[in-house]
Amino acid sequence: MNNKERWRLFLIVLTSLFLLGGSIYMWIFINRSVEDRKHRDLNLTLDKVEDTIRERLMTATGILYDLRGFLGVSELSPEKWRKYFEVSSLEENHPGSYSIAYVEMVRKENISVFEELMRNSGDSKYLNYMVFPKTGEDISYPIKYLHTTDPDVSVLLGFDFQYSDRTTAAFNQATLTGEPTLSELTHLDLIIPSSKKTGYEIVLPVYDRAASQIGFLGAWINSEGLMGTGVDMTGLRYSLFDGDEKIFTSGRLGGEPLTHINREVELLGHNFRVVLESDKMFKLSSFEENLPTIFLATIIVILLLWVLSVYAILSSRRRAVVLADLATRDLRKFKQAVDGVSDHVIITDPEGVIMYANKAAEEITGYGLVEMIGKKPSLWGGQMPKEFYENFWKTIKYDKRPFWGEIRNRRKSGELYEAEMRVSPILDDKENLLFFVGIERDLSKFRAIEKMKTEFISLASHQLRTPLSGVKWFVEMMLSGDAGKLTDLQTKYLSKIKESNEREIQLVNALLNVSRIESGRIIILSKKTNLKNLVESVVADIKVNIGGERNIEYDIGENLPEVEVDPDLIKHVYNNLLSNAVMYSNPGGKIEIKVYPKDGRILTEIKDNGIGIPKAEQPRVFEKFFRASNATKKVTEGTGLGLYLTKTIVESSGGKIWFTSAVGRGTTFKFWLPLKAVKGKMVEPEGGKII
Amino acid sequence: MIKLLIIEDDLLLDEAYRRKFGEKYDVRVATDGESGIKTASTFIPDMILLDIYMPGKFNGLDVLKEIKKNPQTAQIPVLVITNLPDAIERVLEMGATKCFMKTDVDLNNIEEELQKLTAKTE
Repeated sequence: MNNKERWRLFLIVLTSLFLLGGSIYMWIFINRSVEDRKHRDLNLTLDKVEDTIRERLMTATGILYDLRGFLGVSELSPEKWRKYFEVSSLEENHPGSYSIAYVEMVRKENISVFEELMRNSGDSKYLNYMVFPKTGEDISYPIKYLHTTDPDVSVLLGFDFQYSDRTTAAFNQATLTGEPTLSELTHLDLIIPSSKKTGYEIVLPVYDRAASQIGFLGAWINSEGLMGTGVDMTGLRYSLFDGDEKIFTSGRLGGEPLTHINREVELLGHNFRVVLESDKMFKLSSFEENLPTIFLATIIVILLLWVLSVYAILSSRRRAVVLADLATRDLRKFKQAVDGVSDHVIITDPEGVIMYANKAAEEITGYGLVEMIGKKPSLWGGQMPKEFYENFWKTIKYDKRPFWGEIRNRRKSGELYEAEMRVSPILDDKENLLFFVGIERDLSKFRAIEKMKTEFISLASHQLRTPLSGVKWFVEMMLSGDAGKLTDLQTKYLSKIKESNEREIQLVNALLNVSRIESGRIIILSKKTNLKNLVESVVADIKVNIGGERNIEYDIGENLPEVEVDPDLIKHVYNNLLSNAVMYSNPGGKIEIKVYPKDGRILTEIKDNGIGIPKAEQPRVFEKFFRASNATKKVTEGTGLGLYLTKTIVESSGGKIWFTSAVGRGTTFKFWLPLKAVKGKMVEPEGGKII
Repeated sequence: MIKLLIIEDDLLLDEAYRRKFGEKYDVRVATDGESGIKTASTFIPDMILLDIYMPGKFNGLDVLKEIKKNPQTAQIPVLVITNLPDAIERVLEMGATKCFMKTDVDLNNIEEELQKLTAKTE
């Protein structure tokens, strides 16, 4: 994996992590939102509760400030105290909600005086004024003036808050900060043992003209009063906790509490916990209820898809790379294969411009690849007549068919060479030309070998035959008496020499024919041939040689159609079969020749009643140099090549030859020829090339 | 005497020719193609016996071509006597009067032919 890949992989992993992380966060968020929605109503109520409590406390604080302002810094008197509560609309607005007190700071030694003063204030309320309990502390904080509608609280007139740690703590705090301070929860049973009331004080310091503190103003709110009546508590129950202590519970549950919420509320520096219970099950629509699950499922699906698609992309890319590599390798293999063949292969565009040439093309034409690309094959062509090229182009470009034939080309060196070429047009499915593929086989070597073979055969022909003809001529001259009269014995001997020589000549002829056949030089020169005449001439020749020793009958139709065969070769066939018939039959024997048309062919039958061919040896009769055992006995000389040649000629002409035979009874050879000699090596329609 | 030009490279056969025809005809023998052509144009024989397979620049076919090209010698009947069976068709096309295989005929046959030709021209 290279750097680019690594970087890409890293990005993918990073994105995936982000997706995952984001999804989890979203899921938590949605979960919480759903929960919140569920309890929306409850939460709204809780908000209201919270507001209410806050408002109560604020109101109380407001009152204190107001009162402090009213009292000012002048002498405080009970009348003045009373006046405030007459004038203000406190009781109108908040009946019975607050108890307000003025606490004066009194030194221990002044307590009696203080008490005396109060008793003599002239108000009946203060007739029995007393500071209680006596704490013995240096400073006391007795309630001097008290406004309350709660009978329990009214008992507290004269109460020394020094006794209450909690209130003292609030006093100290208020003194310190100068701000309204909320005390800890106070229990009234501190003073009134039977009371179960609890509440809070808010205290505010009061200063004299000289700005030194003289006392406090305090507001007492009982726990129940915190809530007030502003909130509809139907079917709800709320509980207020201060720490672990449940201060207060209120509300009207219809049944069992089925849902609840709680909230931490901070007021005037004090932490409360509100718990709101409802007798209703809050149900959202099933969609909303299941939203978290749905979301989770969706996220999982999305993540899976993401992973799958990444994987698919990565693997498809990898597959593509593998495939490309394979294809390239295959392509390379093909290219190597084509480069490796010994035939010249080129690919051109439809105009003939060369796009590719293999190594062999370079070697054969002598031009390098760079010299060929972009040019046309006329680079090494142009040696043929115009018509050749015209025909060539017509075939491949307009007829869009492959062209093959022999062509003469010119190598870069100037050397001419012959090649067998085949050019195929390559078309797409709409039959449009895509390109041409041209293959050429350099025939020069082949031709050279051919030439060598031909020359060899010519040489062999000549070298073998010349001495034979020499012997023949001289012997003939002697037998003719050109060298003087001969004795009978001399004549006899010379005849033997002549005979032997003739045999040798026959053998050489046969061998050379076989050579020519095997080297592919037997050329079928088809001509319209009258078989009747041909056979008759052969018979005539044979008759000359055998005299009347055999009875030759032939039955050849007058209207035998002319056959297109090579007359010389077919003559050879008839000659061979007839002379065999003569050779291997006895004096007085009968030979029948029949030639007739059958099934669109010409059938020939040559029948003798001679020695026949032994069954065991019949399969070998057409073999080169084979002679049947009884044949060798009858005619000692014989090349064993005659039937081999005959068979080759018949088959090369497109025919077939076979026989039936029985020892002592005779043999019948049959062969058929097509009306047109079909197969043949190097069929040359315009007449043959010899030598 | 009738002028006979024999163009044959094999000495053995040349001797046979000479012995057979030497008395009856005015015989000239050329042992290669080039001298054969030259002799033909200078000797202007009445008949030519021509071999095909000869060494050197000119083989029998070239000789035949030259002889037929030369108006002086074009009319002279040429008997091709050869060992090459494939030559038969070709030489006849090129204008040879007749073609024999050396191993098929003997000198008597050739003499017969010469006599036939002589009779024709006379």
